Amino acid sequence: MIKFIRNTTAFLTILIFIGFIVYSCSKLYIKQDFRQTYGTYNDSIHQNSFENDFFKVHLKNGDVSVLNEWLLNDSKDSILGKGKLFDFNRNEIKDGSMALEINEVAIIETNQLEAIKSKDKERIAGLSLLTGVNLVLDAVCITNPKACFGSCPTFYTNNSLSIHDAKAEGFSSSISPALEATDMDALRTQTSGKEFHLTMKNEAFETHLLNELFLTAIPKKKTEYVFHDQRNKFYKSNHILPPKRATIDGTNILNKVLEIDDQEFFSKTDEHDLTKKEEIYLDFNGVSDNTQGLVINFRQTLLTTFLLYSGISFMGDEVGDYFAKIETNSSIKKRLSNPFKLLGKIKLYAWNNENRQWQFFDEIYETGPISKNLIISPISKISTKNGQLKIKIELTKGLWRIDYLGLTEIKEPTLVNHIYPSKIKTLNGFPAELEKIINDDEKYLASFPGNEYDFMFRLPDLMNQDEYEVFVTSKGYYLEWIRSNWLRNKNIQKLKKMLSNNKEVWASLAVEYKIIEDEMEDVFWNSRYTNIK
Amino acid sequence: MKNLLKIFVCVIFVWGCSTPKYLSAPKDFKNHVKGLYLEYTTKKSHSREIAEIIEVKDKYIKLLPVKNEKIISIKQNDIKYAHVLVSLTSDNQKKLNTWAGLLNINSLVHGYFMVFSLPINLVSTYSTSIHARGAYRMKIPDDVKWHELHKFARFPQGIPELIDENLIK
Repeated sequence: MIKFIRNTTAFLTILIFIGFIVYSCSKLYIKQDFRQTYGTYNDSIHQNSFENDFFKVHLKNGDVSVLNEWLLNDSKDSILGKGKLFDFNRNEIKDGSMALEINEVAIIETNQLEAIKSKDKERIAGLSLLTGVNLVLDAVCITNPKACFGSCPTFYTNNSLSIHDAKAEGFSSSISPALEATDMDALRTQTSGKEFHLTMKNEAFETHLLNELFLTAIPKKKTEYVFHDQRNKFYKSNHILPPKRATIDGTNILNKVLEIDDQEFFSKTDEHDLTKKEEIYLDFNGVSDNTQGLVINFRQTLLTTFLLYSGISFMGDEVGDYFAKIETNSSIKKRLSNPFKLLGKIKLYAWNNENRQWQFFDEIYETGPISKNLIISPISKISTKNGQLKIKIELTKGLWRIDYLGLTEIKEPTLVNHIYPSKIKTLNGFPAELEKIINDDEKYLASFPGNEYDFMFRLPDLMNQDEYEVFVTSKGYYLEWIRSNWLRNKNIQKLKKMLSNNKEVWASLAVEYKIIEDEMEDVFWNSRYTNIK
Repeated sequence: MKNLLKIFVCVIFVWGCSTPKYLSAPKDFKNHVKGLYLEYTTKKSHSREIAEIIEVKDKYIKLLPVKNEKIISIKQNDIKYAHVLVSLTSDNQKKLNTWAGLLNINSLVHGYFMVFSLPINLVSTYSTSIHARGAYRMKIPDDVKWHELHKFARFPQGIPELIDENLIK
């Protein structure tokens, strides 16, 4: 991101030049007749000069007087008035009432000030509009900084500058040392090279502490697929069967889930209940009786990050105390996971033709709104009828984005390689040592906002296979940087009630999220690919 | 990030330092008792100069350059290009510049969206700021003829004989 911003310097420079062009075009021309001059006082009266705001009298000796009130005296030989008198160098020499002899007047000058009116109104209107747009964006970013500032360590397999090209997010739920966790993600990348490079970036206002990092490389034929499940077990398959039908509340969503692409199915939260569930129904035809797995590519909406940051902001200036308690008090640590438990996992059911009931077969969960998670859920006991299989997916409304759904016959691979990095190169930040991340121990690689590291992995020779399917496993935790504006939202009572799953508080959170949901989602996701690139 | 901050500082610096101080704001124009200013180039020198109009005669003009305090005389025929600068177009130039500058700095809190909000803010505020720094002008001879020019001089009647030109500041 930092590099990207740096690269935009040239672009911005061009804009500044455009500004200069605007400057050259911004001249406002007026005609000379806004100023009138008169040789005598009589001339000026005939031209209704008394209607002007002010009256400038140039004297023969080079002095000049600016009068706000003026009239001719009874003997008509002097102009009486109130104002200021200046010498030939325009130093003020008199302020107040004065009498100027007609014989000493060289020229009388009046000006139509309408001709040179300030243009500030238009400018203020323009800046007000721009300020309004900025304030909306400020509100979005303040309410949910992750919508603007990223998430956890992000992993890239190419030189992409876009957050939307991140192939994986590491340990998104691990917001404190006590919550350190291991996270495996499919990189959705195949390689036949001897070296593999993975870039880890810190694109958030967070400190990332990486304990361990390794790749899992599964050799395969080009025509094969490799997936992993929630228990990090790997499966191979040859062919993926698309659903014949995919509906939710009777609405067809098939086109959203047929391909791994930008099209995703997602719904909005219930305005009163953030835990309200919905069900997707899938029909598959031509299913064999062999072991099958449901392939899902998914990620979260911004709901969990909203809840996480609401919780932290409710801690206010006690945030440090609470995070210390998480480390030492297991009940608090347990309570912290309550909101996520309440929202629930994605539950998967298959229709059992024998007892004519939905049969639960798996549940999946992965925190993070940025990179998609491609995983498989094996269906232990298949119950098809004439090659037909029905699947039900139960999920919380407004919490998930489902990109892809498919069914595939699965088998376990014969070879699984775990590969630790051979080299680490600091692209941005402090030099890092490899030994800190090749074991699950007390040593951590600390990564700060803007830091980027390139990890090089040496892959073993491919024996009789064509390429490797690559997965990344990261272990660690991260510490959120507390923004000063969060401290203002301190509400310990609300925090306690939120963690106790209090219905009223959850109802108010539903309303709060509803207000910003559309805007937050639109701003974040409409910025994808074309815009950001 | 450092580069970005440098751009910010430069932009804000450019905005802050380049105000033509010799020009009046519209609200202060009635108190402007000096001559108006001539922006000109001559056939001998292509550099653009700015000077206060002191006196205008049929064949020449006397000017007090803003860069030094010595009156110069230029023949009408030697002038290649000339504009009369009347006044600024803004009464609150500093406030508008500060507002515009703050809007640009505000982009920093937009995270990723800074790549959109910063250029939009920058172009819009820069344009606003530039306009605010702009001046009402008169082209010679399109908007003001040579024989009409004297009324914009400090001494529209001509420099009084009793005044030593060298003392004019």
